[in-house]
Amino acid sequence: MTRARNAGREPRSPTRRAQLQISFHFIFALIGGLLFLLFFFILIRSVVHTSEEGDTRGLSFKVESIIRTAAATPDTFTVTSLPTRDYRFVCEKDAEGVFSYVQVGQADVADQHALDHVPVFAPRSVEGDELFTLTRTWEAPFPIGSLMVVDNNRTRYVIVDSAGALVQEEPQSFIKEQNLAGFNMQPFSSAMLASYPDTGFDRYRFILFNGNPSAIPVALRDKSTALVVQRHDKGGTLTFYDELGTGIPSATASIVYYGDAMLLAAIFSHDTPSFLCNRGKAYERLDGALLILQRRLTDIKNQKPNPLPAEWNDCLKLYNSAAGLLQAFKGDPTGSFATAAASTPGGPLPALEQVNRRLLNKQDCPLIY
Amino acid sequence: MTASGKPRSRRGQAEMIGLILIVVILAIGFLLYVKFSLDSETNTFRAKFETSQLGQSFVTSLAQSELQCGTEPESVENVVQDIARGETRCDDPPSTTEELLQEHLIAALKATHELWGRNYNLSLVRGVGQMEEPLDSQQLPALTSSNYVGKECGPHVPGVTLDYQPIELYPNPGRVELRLYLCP
Amino acid sequence: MKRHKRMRNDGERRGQIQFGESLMVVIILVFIMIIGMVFYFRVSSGSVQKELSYREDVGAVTLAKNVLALPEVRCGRLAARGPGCIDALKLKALANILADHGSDTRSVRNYYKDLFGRATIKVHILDLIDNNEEIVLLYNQRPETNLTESRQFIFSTFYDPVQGRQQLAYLNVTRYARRAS
Repeated sequence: MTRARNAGREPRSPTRRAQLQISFHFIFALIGGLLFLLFFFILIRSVVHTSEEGDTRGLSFKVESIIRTAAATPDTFTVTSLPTRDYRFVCEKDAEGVFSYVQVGQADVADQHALDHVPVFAPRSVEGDELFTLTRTWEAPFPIGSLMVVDNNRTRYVIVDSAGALVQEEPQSFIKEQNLAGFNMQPFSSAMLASYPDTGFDRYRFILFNGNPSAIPVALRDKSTALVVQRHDKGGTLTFYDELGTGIPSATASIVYYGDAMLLAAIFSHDTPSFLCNRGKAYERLDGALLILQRRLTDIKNQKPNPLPAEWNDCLKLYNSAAGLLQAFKGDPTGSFATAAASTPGGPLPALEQVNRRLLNKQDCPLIY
Repeated sequence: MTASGKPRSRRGQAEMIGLILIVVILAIGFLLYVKFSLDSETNTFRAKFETSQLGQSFVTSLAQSELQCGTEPESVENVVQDIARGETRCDDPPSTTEELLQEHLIAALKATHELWGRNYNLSLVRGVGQMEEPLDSQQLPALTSSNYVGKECGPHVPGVTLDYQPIELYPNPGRVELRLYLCP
Repeated sequence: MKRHKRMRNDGERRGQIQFGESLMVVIILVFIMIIGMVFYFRVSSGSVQKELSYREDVGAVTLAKNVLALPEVRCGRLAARGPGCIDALKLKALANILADHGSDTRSVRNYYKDLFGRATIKVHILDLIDNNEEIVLLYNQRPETNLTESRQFIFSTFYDPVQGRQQLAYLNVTRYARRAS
């Protein structure tokens, strides 16, 4: 009956409801797909972000470890390859004391006191994919601690001699030292300084032995700093020029130094506050070293070598002289050593060295250091 | 409809799901593999460093340590040089210089690697490469751990580390090596 | 009518079943992804712990090397006693300073406390002639809470300038981690 009724009629089109169902089906699939993609997007973004943060923290730790480990191997030049970043070496002082660390890029710093006890002399910021490090023992005159210098191949160090035959050899002998070969050091004549060309380095540091920074070309000054060195025996005076300007450069500070390692440190510190902050760490170390030597000297006098050396009485006089020198000075950054050394290179240390050398001639007497 | 009678769309869906599942499982598997392979590197860092630090610092310091040579103390390095030159100034009858040195080395090992239960092999070797020979195989035989009888440490043992301290025989040519093998 | 109704019901059911299938596919996929991610993050956190442990080991190794390299305790160059030599009088002087409680040594003690951190550093001096061992406690800042330890040994020689003897010695450096085990 139904068949007969339906015969001849056209086939029915899908119902409105079925159409809606199909539409909903597709819309739902679309929404589901979008949610799915959103979920993944958020996940990947958080993983990448965590990974980057982790990478940067790992880098910061790695650089700090390299520095702390290198401090234990003096007179060693190393090149470390790292991801291309901006590595900032921070050393600052607040009311609570020094805080020193390495900051990688703009990342948060995990430990602001990571390098509080490691003197690291470097430009404020080292950009690139390599770090050059050189550790030198600060002997003043006995070993006090390691000073580390850091930079990379984007800085040019121009060692400028002074007019006059006597000092011309100085820069040459200074940079001939093998450990410095890795850094971009170039000897240059002061007579030609005014025409020094820009060879494409990010930074220039002019080291002038008894020279005048006015001769540095104006075109280079915005990416240059200068250090004038006046050497006297094992110490001397350093004059920092952190900003050269366009006219006659004015000195930022004039500082007395002692020991070749400290001179090297000043060369690699591109600004005065950084140099003074890191030098303070070395002075803090000296404080402990002087105290140890004092007690050691007391033990030597009390214990006495067995058998007693023939020249023991002469040695005893020298020990007493050394004890007096050590007693008078404390090495901390605000202590009497720093004050004395501010005016006289090395404070009491050159006198201590002389006493020790006299003991060396006595042969059987233990040395002061 | 396909030949098997299943609707085409359902079969296509099933195939697609299968493919996606395979991709997901492979991705997770690869991730785990990468994770574990990286982890194993850091795990061995400490083990390697600890052994090599101990070994190298031991031989370097042992060479500088002193033993009684007559009435004066003398470093192992100097005594080895004397033995290589055939000198006997450390002789303390009835003990020979070689015997005194051997006693010193045994005492050092007893207080350190032997006490810590390590498997070691300490020897004094003269010459290089194919020309090398023990300094004195009779009086200075190689010293091995008493805890590993039958499993003595040596260059043939897998995972062994070698550290040595060269002792130059200046002004004579050649050198002697104080060699330490440490086995896992 | 009945057939049309049946056909319409069949169509709806088929549509619903297909819809349900797609929904199930999506749900199962999301479920697998979530399981995968949970597993991944668990492994990651495990590897973070391993990374921290690795860093602690590096710290202990660095500390051991740095102690040995301290100029304050090393033999003077002029004494010519070879590398890795510790001066007995310097070491004992430093140990006394670090064990002191006086105000005049406070700044020095604070300096070494910051330098060494939470650690115990002992020097074992081996008298191989008399078969004796002397232990000098150089530094001890062991925390009270139970933390993980990382221990390193490193050999050196120990030179007494008064007695004129150079003995075999080793440093026993234990570093305490900041996290609980």
